[in-house]
Amino acid sequence: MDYLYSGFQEAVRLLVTGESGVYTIVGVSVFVAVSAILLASVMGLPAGYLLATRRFRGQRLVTTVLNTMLAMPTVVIGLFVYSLISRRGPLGFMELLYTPQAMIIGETLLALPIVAAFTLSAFRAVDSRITETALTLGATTAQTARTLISEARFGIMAAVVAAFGRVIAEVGAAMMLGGNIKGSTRTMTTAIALESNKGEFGLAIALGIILLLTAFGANILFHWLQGFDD
Amino acid sequence: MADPITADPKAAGANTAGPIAAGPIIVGEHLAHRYGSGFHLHVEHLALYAGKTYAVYGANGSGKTTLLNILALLTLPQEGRILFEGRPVNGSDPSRGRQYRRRVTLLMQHVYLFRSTVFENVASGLRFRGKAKEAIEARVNGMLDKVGLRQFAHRPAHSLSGGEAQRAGLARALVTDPDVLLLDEPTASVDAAHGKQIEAILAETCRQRRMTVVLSTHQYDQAYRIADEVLIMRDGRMLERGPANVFKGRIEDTADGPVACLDGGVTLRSDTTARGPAHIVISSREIRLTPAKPLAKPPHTPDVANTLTGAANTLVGVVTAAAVDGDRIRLDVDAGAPTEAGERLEAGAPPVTGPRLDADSDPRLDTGLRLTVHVARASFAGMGINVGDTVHAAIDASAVRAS
Repeated sequence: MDYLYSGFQEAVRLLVTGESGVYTIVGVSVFVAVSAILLASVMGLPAGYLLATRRFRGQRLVTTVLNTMLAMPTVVIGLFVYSLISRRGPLGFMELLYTPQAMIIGETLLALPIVAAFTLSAFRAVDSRITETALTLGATTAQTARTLISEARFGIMAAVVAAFGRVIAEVGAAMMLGGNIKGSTRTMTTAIALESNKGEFGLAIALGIILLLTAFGANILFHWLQGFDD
Repeated sequence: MADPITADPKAAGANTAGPIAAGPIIVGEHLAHRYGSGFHLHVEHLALYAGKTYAVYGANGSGKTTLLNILALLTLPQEGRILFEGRPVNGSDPSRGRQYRRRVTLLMQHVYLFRSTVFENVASGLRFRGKAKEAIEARVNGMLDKVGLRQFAHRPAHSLSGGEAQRAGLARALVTDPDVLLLDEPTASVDAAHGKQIEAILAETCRQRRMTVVLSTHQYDQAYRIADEVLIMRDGRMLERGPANVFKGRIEDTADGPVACLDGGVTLRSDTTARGPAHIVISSREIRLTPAKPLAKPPHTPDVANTLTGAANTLVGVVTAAAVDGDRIRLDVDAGAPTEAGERLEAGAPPVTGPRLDADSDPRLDTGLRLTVHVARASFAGMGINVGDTVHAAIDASAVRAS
């Protein structure tokens, strides 16, 4: 058990001094996650809104597929994107493999169904009288939509936070698409996996503490936001 | 309120039975709407006039909410059309519907307040209309004062109690200064004190502006207390309408025997095992006689009948006989006869042959609208009623029950 104890000591030292590029790794993680969440939100929020408010053919199918994709294993997403961007893949010429961009693509695909599905349920959960109330007060179609979004805002934020929590803690796609290149695509999760393998518990534990706090923070925020819907 | 309208249209006579020069503000023609549940609303013709207060009275499920939702264009009627100031609004042009909804607003029975402050809620209609910030502030604060919620302006709307929320909803609707205000059971989900407040706010606002108010209610007394005209609904149909102060009763022969309908809404069946006449019992305490000739009446006040506030089922009649009966005076009142004012009460019923409407052995009503009223001698002396006088007899409908 001694190695764990010294690992903790080393972790605290690294966190204080910032040696071994610990904050570079954190930076890459946050950059990739935030970029992916932004992209996923740009697509997922409108998709969730439309799924909740419009009626169209195949709506049930789309909703079912979306909910199924929530359970998509991250390595499968990694595999899928890998096959597209690897040298022999259809997008191979773009030379994206083992770049932060490749990771962002993968994490966006991971986050998109989460954002869309949670947004959908956020709009479904709000009171059915909102639209009617806005209409009786003379709102235009756009104003009605804005009112609805405003009323669902906590649920929408919860969707984004939930997706962030999933993406930041994900290792499979990040490893496959980023390749764990130090200073470029090494994230907290991939670094922890590598450092543990190497027996360098200090850095692994330091990153684990940050990751844990981030995940806890996201989770607490998520539940706090959801609490507004009661 | 910085309201340019200072004249009081109702005081000028709009409230009386006199003709109104302008046409109706809203007309519904052949309105029909069917729900999957089998409910079917069908209103052949409905005309609402500016500045009047209407009560849509009926039991739960009679179609009041559906009618109001259609009038608010929240529900597009499957058939028929709605005309606003003579122009159809439920056609293919959605912008016309929106323009309509900016002048006709609905307060739902269970008001929904947005997740923001009370102030922001009340301001929302003005914001939708793109009003200037200063104007919004002034009007919203004025309206919050009016409904007594100014001190809650910056509280979250969801912290309000049910009655306060209802008042906030009313303020939110009124602040846009609509031409027509539709209210779905505005006091059904609040306690009596809040209900009174809401009624008072409504009455004051409608007096100040020439606002048309249509409220639905299942409270018979409220309908007659507030409205100029009562529209009675049952099973998705409008049974009848009439000035709130005219008593209407009729007897319908049904398979179950005769059924007495008071104002269409209160239906009383005779005991089918007994056959015979349908009896309606009215506690004698619930009939109020008022001399109709207090000639102190200034020439320009509305008709006396209108001044009988709180009077549901007010009958106008002539005292035909008075006789001493023990310690009381028995008065015969012929409410079917033409009165001084020349008004004749409609009793759309087959006269006399219909079942009697009996009144707790004291006052007796029949479809010929003759009343027998017992009055304590002391009270009689104070009333100053003589044979030949026109009187108003007010019957509290809540006291009506089948025997």
